[in-house]
Amino acid sequence: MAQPMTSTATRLELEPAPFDFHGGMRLDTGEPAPPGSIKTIHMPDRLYIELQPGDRPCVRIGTHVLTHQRLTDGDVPSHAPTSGRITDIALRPSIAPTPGQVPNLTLEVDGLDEAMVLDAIADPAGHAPADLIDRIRDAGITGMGGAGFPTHRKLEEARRSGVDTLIVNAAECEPGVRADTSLLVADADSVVQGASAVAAIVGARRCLVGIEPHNADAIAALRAALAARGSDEVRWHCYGLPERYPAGSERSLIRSLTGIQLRPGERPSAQGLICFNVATLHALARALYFGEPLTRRVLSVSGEGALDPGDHWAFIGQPIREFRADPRFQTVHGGPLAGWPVGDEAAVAKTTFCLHFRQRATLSEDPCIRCQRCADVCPEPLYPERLLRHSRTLNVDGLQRDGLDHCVECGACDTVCPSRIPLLATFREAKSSLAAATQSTARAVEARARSRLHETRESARQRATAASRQARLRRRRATHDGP
Amino acid sequence: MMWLRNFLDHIAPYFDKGGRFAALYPVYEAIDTALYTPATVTAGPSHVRDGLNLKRIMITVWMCAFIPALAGAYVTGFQANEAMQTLGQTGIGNWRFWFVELVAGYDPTSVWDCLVHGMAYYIPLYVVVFVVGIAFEAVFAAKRGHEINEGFFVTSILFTLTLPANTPLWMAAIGIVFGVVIGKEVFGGTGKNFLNPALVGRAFLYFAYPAQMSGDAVWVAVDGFTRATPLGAAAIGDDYGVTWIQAFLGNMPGSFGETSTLAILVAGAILLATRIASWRIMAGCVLGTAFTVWAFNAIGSTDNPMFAMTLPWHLVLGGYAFGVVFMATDPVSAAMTDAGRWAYGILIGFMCALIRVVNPAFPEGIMLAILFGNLFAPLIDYYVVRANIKRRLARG
Repeated sequence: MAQPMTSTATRLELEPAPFDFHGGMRLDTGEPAPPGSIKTIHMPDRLYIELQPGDRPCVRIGTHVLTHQRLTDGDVPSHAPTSGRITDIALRPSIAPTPGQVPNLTLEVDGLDEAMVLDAIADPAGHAPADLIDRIRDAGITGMGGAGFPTHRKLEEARRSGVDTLIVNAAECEPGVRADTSLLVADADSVVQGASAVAAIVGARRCLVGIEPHNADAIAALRAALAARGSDEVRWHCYGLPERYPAGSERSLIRSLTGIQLRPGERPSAQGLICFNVATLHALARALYFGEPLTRRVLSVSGEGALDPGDHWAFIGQPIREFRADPRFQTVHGGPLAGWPVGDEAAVAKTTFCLHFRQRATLSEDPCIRCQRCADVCPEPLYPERLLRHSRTLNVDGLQRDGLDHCVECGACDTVCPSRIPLLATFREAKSSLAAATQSTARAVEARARSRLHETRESARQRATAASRQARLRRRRATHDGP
Repeated sequence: MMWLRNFLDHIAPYFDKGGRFAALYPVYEAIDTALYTPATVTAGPSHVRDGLNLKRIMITVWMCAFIPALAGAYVTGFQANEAMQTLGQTGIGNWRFWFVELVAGYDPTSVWDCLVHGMAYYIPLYVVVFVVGIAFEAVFAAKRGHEINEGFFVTSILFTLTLPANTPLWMAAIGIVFGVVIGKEVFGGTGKNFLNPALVGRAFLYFAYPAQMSGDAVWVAVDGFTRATPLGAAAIGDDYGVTWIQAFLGNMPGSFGETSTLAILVAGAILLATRIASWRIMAGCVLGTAFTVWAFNAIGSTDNPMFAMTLPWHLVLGGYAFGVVFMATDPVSAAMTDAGRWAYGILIGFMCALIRVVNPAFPEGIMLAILFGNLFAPLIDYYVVRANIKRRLARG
């Protein structure tokens, strides 16, 4: 791949990752576009802030809110990206892969962007880790690479289990996405500051950065930021990742950098690791050093239906149709490989790293010839062909045995399938119906237990009634039979 | 070529749901998409698609099969012409002479004459197999509402290539129908069969019509001329009748596609380079045969000459190379795990040598060996997958 803006020296300087992950595939995505400057926010009329399960709004309909004002209480609070008035709390389509409706706050933007006074700190060294974690929670920081795991919970877990290595994911999730690269080029200092803060909080001594070796600009920016940072005790290592998809997925990244293959479902903290992507570290640094809650993010807008392709700053809650050129195009949330189609009404979430607009097309699917190209590229590795068969018949035992829950949903199998079978969508569907089944089983078990308790109580009550009636009878008989 | 596209678009409504020929939609679809890339190509959640699709895989195998087919046609024609020279015949006594004499003669030294003579046998066989087979495919496809799969292109040519030149056309038709219907469609069509349909058809003919499918009289396409295949000769202790290099190049009697190991190797190289065929299966087959043959050579026998046949001969005689390259590597009926593919290949290689050497009734072992391997592929996969699951769970 030709790299117009790269000198070979930069490329060679970067040490290749010491290990490698299974499967994956090279994708010819053509000449990678150089990371442009990140486009500024186009101020929308309305924002739709999605409420997470357990969130309670702390504003009412009609409340006027300031920029950065807290809107909800809950595990991860949400904040107003700009000033305006709350006009509605209503159900709207969710951005999750399984379609559904979730409550949203509607914020009518007044365009004044009246800000609150923010509470920032100068140096994390003077603060207790618990205080820093509280600040991170109050700023509503979640993982921004896709899964959206609450950052404060991750940090607490890491402190509990003890972590010595921080892994910084500077690789893009998918080919064609450049949001993280652009963010690094624009503001690598904040990313490095965020990483230092995390290392201080969890007590990590070592920081491993995984980055794609062709992103020369991002590497240069990262190096400059590392050179400029103050001295601390953390040892930094930058590694060039294998140029195969999905090198940027957390499990592949950990495997490439440390050689550790996480067990299915295992969190990195169990192996003494904590992993963050650069967008999260950036948001975390902004929260600590500037007091800014997470209300905006960088996302890549791509595909033939994009209004303005490139990397954009976007408000959390910004309607995604504002990035689309024409309603004929389908919106894919996430990258072109592992993303999923979302409805027209959806809005940008904290996890939205890419919006991809493509032509709608009907699927023409051929039968599976069991060529096993899917198994060759699976990073886990699983046998997607077997999972497909089990998914189609919803064979619960088979799905468990063949490890559906270990599927990382990277979509590599989908991409190589010569029969164009929608493997990823089938697996997502199977996962959600399995989850629903488990949930209803759990509910049934609970209900049975409750009813058993009720029966026990009921029979105890009846026994008690019967006993007291007996006693009364005995007493009455005693009085009648008396002398 | 725009007129063709326009014509197809023009007649398309007749085949849509509710159209006059809606039942024939699969036939229309097959012709349309074989000629043109469909307008709707990207789909599914994953937008990026690999360039290699099922159609391209099947068409590549089909094209590759033409290499041994051409070589086979030449060999067939050459042997027929040579036999005619020996017998002093100047023309053939059946309807094929119309075709041959229209464009060529019967000179064994002329490449063109030999090729045409061979084609006079090959083309009618292939046309009959293709037309009859696709008719039955269409019946099933129309009834089931799916499309005719390109897999049939492969099945039809591979089946034809396993036939002797003298096979009666009606017999070839019965064979392909049996292969398609019993070998594939009754299990649900492409991808659901556990045996290779081409081999099922071939095996059916072999056992149903042994007189036309084996023996010494069927291999050279001249009436009344008998010549044993080298394998048949070897089994009864005769001289092979060919040198090794002749056998490698293909100058020996045999079924259409199996004679020229060289042509098959060229096709095999293409299949491996495009990563369509599994190198593990091919390597496993050769490995299995090598071990078994080596063991037989070491054991030795006083009354069975096959014990003494060496590995290089095994590789070039009979349908071995053709079976290993084209038949054993069919992904649908082969093992699907990497380790399983090794085991599957070794099993086929072992069985082939075993049948050839110790069962004189079947000089041709590779067909039965592959069908045998097909039967065991699911079992092999079962154990490999179970071992992998155990390993994954041990990790976690």
